[in-house]
Amino acid sequence: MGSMIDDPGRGITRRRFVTTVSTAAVAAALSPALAAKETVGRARVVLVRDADVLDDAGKPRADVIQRMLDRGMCELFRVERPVEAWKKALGPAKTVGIKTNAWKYLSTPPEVEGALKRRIVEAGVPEGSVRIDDRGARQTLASCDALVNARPLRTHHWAGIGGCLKNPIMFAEEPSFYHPDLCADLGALWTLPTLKDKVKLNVLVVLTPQFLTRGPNHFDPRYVWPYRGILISTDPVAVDAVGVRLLEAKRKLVLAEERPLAELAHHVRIAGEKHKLGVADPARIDLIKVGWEKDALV
Amino acid sequence: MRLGTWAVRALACGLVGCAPMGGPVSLRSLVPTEAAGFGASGPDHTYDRETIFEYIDGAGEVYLQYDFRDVLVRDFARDGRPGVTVQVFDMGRPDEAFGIFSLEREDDDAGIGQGSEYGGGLLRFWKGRYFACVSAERETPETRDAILALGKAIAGAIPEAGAPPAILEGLPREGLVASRVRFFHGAFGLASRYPAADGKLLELSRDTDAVLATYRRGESSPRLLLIRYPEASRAAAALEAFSRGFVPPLGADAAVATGGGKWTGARRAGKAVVAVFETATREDLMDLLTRTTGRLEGMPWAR
Repeated sequence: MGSMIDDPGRGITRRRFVTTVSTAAVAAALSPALAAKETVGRARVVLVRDADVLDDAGKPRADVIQRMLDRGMCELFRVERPVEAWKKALGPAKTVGIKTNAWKYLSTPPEVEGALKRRIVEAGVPEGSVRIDDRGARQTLASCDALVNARPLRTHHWAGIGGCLKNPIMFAEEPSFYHPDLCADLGALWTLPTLKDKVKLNVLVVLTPQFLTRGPNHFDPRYVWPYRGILISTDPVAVDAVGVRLLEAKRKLVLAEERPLAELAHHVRIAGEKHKLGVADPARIDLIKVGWEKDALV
Repeated sequence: MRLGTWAVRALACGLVGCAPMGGPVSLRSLVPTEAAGFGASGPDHTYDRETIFEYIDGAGEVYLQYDFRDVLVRDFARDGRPGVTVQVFDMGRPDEAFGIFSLEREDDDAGIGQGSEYGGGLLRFWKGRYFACVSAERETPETRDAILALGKAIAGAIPEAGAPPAILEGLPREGLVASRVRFFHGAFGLASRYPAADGKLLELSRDTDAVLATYRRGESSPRLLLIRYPEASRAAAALEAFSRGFVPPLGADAAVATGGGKWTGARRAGKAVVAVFETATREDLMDLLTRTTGRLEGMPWAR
């Protein structure tokens, strides 16, 4: 693979990269009228994978990450150039926060943070007005006009999964307030004034997802695998719902004992049904798959 | 693995059903400061029921489902090698220590404490009222040696063994896969290990004892869930709710054929409810239910 980072001003022929689209999305593409109808109450999630995104040591390659993000953004917003996608995503925002995840075993890669920041700046936000934080988010990101929510996907002992819905937990003054019933009402977190309507994009990093939680520190290197992807959506429920399906598929493939996740991660379904944050029903999620196809599992 | 050594030992020694033994000892006194060339580094940390979230965030809730009291964390280092961390949890009672160990058990026995597993640079074991984890940042031959040495030292320092939960006595032995016996209290345990059973329908809560076991019966792997409620009236109400709410609902004979030609059924015996899932035949289902309720007749805790 080449090492050049795509020029944001250069058009990306997005259709070239689209490998699979759900049936509904194909039908919608063929009929504008149907497209309008189908998009009501539906969510769009883009999965971008690249076989070359990890180097021999398992470290993400910055140039490939950038290219994957650009492709995903163009596909998500149905535009030709990444900068157009970012302008659509961020609107008139003057300050943008990137909410990351600093968990030491599987953190948001700096390469992802860098790729996001680069395009946010190119979309017109001054570099000094782009902030990146996790643990201090309640202080440092609360005043931002817009937020980008980016974290790796992993299983979680109590919440079932650690995904995009859970990631803004550091905006809460008392995170344990959201713990009852396996974090059932994590969706309520998104009504905090510092968060409500501010999250413009969700990036669920599935470069090396973790599919089983082990021990008090929750991590066991045997239970991550090089999936080499990123999931992008404006809908935090839909992107997490795809994440649950992905982890369930991997668990079914690998674990000796069947271990469904959806019930343990019921906060995803509840965030859609009760808190109206998005779409959890797989039948109403258009999953657009771009790039490397091997062992996609979803 | 069939019925494991812990259960055999426990049954042979008459330990099951004994009163909890052993008061708390200083967690610091259980953990050595050196093993296999690794030495303690940095200060110890302790966390209790109030502060556990500071250490392991939301996953602390898993420990709060049991009678967790406090945990000691001690890091170990050796020049140029990945670090090793010891966590020793005082779980209040032996059955609670067994429970937290059993819920997550996946790997092969390491022969440490009363029950253990080792895999991927993580040792987990229980002994008496204590549950311990020893893990490495990265598994190497040296960290593996250190982990096992630390584990043996900790287990050796725990003064008394303890009894597994009495409810385990209710499990029929034939075909029982001992490494897949999970003890818990609330709905989390079922959501984590077997959500199809629906812990909310069964009204599981902090004051219920539940054990989920896997059996081998020919090519099938049925699950048996045995629950003890504080009162028989609660057991009756839970069985009623489960019988009606399970999809599909149980028939008049307390059994139902589910998808894929499998069978599910449930019965009550005093304060206990037993539910069996995924047997290959109706006869298998009835056999497991009958064997279990038969065992319960002689057990005071079920009356």
